[in-house]
Amino acid sequence: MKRKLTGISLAIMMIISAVAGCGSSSGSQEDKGEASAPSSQQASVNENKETAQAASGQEAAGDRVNLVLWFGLSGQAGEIVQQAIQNYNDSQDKVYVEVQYQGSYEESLNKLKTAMRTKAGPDLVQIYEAGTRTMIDSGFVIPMQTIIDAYGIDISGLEENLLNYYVVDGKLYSMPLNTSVPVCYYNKTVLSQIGYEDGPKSWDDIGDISQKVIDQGLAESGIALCSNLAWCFEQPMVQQRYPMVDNDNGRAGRATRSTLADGTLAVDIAAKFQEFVTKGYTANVGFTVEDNRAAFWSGNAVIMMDSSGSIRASLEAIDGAYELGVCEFPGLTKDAPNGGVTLGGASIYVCDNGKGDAKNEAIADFMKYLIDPETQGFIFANTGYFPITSAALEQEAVKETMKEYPQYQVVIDTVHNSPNMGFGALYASLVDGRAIYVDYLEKMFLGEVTPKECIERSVQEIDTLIEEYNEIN
Amino acid sequence: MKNSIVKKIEPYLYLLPVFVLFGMFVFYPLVRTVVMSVSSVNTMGEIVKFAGIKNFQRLFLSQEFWRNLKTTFTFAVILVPFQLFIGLLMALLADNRKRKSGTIRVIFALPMSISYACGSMIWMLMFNANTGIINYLLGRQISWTGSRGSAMVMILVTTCWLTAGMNFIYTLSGLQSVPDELYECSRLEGSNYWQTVRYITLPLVTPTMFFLLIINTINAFQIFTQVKMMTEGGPGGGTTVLAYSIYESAFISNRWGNACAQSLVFFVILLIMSAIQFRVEKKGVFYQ
Repeated sequence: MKRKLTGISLAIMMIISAVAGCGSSSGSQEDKGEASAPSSQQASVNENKETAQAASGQEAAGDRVNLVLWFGLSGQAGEIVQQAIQNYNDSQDKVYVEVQYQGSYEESLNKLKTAMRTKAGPDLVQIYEAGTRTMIDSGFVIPMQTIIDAYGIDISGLEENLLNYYVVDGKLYSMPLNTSVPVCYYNKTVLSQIGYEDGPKSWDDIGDISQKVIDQGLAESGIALCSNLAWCFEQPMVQQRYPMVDNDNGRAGRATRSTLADGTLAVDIAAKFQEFVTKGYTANVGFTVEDNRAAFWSGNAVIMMDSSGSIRASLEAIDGAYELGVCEFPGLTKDAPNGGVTLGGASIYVCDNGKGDAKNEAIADFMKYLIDPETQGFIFANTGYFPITSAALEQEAVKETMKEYPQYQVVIDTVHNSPNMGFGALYASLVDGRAIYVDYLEKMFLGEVTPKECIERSVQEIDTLIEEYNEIN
Repeated sequence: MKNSIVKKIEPYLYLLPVFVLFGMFVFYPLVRTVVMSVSSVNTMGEIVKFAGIKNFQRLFLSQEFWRNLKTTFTFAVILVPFQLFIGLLMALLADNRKRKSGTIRVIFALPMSISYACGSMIWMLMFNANTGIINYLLGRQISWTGSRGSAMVMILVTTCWLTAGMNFIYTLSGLQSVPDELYECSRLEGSNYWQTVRYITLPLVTPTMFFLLIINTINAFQIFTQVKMMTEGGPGGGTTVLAYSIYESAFISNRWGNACAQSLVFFVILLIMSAIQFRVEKKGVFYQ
């Protein structure tokens, strides 16, 4: 009996210790009673130590307002943006921005959704452009416009074309932080030999170039089409203001259906791609982004479409093997209307995490710093992400970068020549929608569907997604 | 009286820690999955309303689901025999009772020490159409991610390699448990190497092989990392297996209801597969 009781009490103690997470359960009751006071002191000392360590790590001292920023940009560009934020922390002692890396933008967004259910999310979050509608619909975002109006942040110097992408219902929802645009990369060394030293102006030109380089044995193929297939498909529609979803491309209200099949443009684009594949113009390296980029970098293909954020990486990968040319994203045909492209990259949102307005002043101060020409110039010069203020281009560091990498001029031209930037489609299922038509385009390349079927089936599936989303969100 | 109460409670107390952990990490997620599969769940992961069988209805009506299911089965059916064969072959080669073959064994077991993500990355580089060593050795320029078939071959080869170490070690341990006397007897009877393998070794390693069959089948159905790293389900969704499709639905599309419905279907399939295998075990497995 005694043994059993001892067994049971031991089991209970083990459970309690496991749950409480402390292992010191030996000794008699009196011992424990005596030990309790010192151990609580010990705990408070430990706590103080931890706080001190945290404080030294974060340099948060005194009355500094601590802003938590969830960050989703990795690699060299991520480090540069973080450096810019650290510079802000060092430059003043009122606000401290604590950057917390949360993995990719998608992961950030997923974590945010979970955290915001209990309002335990961060003060600020960096989310990619494709998540814009999801953020607005989520209801946990304070429009950036509110902060701008309340604290009189001067945004008159910011690029209107860029801001327009993030403006919905006349309100700016987020502040662009790192912005990239789709551009056309080409092998200038080869294209100069066939009279295209300025790059292709239209997809017809790309066809002509491809035919010539293959005929003359200058390269194995013309275009590495799948370096960014989704953008290749979407941009001609933006250029011609052809909506991908209803309600003014999802900007006048929530999208209720896909409009890809309402006209013929989407099918025309798909047919153009199909023609290129059939004629052997495209690099035969499969459909992954990496393989297609590698095909262009290695000289196998002479053209690729990609984000302006890849200019630096491309120059490094090519390493002088040939001259890299960058030009604006070509129109579908020579005479097609061309209002420019839409953007990529990410912006910063203010989260409504129950903190009230207490931190808004600090947020406003941080925003002023972020859109400052000097900050934007620093980020642009070191990463290639486009500055949201043209004044940044006057910075000495930027001028030097432009001299070293003249390819960046195209990025600036693209932004200025893209009044349609704010026309980019906005719907919560954008990422899934993309996956669907990319899937079908690949099936089309494999000969399983025709261009018309590709678009029709995509529309069907996107409609189901939108319907499902609107039904429950 | 007191005694009997203590007696009754005692075993449960011992079980409590395990129950707490299992409850938190196994039972709760399972119940939650079942609940979410019959609910409309918003992108935040919150249950909005009861949806009945709507999620399942949508799932069974979508062509993608059936295609993904077919791809998953295709993978498993092709993969498992290869895995077992490679494991057995390597074990037979390394099972030399006269000579010590420690180095060989270590080399054969090495793939075990590499994580699936790293292994996939290495094979991806080797399969690269432009710069990969495989195309170089073949002397051709095959675009491995360019067609469904070749993309599948790529994942199958990688998976076989990644699991070869584990299959080898288990099979080898099975081989080594075969008593020497049996081999001696067969030698005295004048049987050659292949006859010994066929009539002595193979029947006696069937328990191990059966265990590997179950493990490999379940693993083949759950194949994910290789697909995520190497093809992301492409081209044209041709290598999208169920596990990857569940991941996409849940964590990229935030279609939680759909993902949970898929998970449950997946769960039932694995349950049935295991039941069938245990049934078959009674016929084909020899225990000493």
